[in-house]
Amino acid sequence: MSVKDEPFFQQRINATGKLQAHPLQKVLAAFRVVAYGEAADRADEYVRLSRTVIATSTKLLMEFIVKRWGPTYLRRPNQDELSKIMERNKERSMPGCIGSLDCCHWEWHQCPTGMAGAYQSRKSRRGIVVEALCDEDLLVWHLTVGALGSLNDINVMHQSPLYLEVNGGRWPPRNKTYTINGRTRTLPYYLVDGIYPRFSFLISPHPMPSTEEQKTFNRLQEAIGKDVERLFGVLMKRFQFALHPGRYRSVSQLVTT
Amino acid sequence: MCVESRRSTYLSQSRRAAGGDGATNCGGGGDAGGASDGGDEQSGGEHAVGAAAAGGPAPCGAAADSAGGVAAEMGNIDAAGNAPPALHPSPHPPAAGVAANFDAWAETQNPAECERLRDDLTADIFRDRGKLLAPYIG
Repeated sequence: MSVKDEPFFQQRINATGKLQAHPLQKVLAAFRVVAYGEAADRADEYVRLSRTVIATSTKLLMEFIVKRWGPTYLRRPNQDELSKIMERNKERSMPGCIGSLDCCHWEWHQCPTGMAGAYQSRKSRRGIVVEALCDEDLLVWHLTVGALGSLNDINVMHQSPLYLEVNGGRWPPRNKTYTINGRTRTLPYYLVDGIYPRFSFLISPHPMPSTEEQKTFNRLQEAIGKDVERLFGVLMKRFQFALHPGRYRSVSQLVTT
Repeated sequence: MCVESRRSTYLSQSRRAAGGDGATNCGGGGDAGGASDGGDEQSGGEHAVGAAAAGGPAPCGAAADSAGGVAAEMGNIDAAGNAPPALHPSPHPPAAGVAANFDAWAETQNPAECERLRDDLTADIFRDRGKLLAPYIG
């Protein structure tokens, strides 16, 4: 499966016998939009395509990437990967940790006024929420995009498939044991920030650290839990499209992009 | 807008001809699992929530259902009860019955266990890295 085999990207011949745009033109234009955050008509002279074709190329290329690579990269870790993640976190003094979880907001420029009540955040900006879970290598093991911008991190977590899977006992696997302070446990956990509730699969910092031990724990927990913040930073730098407010009219298109 | 709508319709038709059922990408979302968004690109709304969840509704999950069906994928549940990533989690029954569901709920929602785990981690980390991190503790 490749992009050039997609119907839209195939090079065609029009009624006058002239060759139409090459697939590379459309792919290049789409990547410029995504990587540099350009508007669709910014590169129209460079790639000799109209704004509409560039916008459609971007949309269809993102759909293609999700269709082609989604099952490969948007999945849960298998047993080997889980063992490696836990091993590496054990070396960082967090045995049993299988990643860090957090949310970020993506502003939605084209949000319809009628939906502002649902999508407007406490900062008076309309947008959607992205919930991500990643490990030290910034491999994303869970991604939920498209929650209402008015929701906080807890509400987003409550409607994410990860939470439903964990509460249903389907995830994470309990077959990997780890020992902390002499006690052996089987339920791995995620590192989160202070807003998350006290569930046994979420470890947040001490809310008001008073002792030296608690301060030391908070220091390390926040340092390791920063992996997911790093992920958001890398994503925004790599795909500068996300730096700007989303220009699509529908949430589904924002999600695909 | 009209152009995008026509192209979306064309895309759905081409995919339907290729063997899918018209559902496009993973834009279906948490509750719809690959519901068609081919013709309503302008509508937006809540139905797209949770669309790109890993391990949840895989991209083109509807196509996977049409190819092998949920029943065929059910055999791929591993010993730990992980659903195969090609499936939406909702069609799955609990891996070990409803009682296991309640047990898992009680286990994961236990704040006392969370406190114990955090206290153990606190003691463990201070013993291992207390001296190392001491200069960084304000």
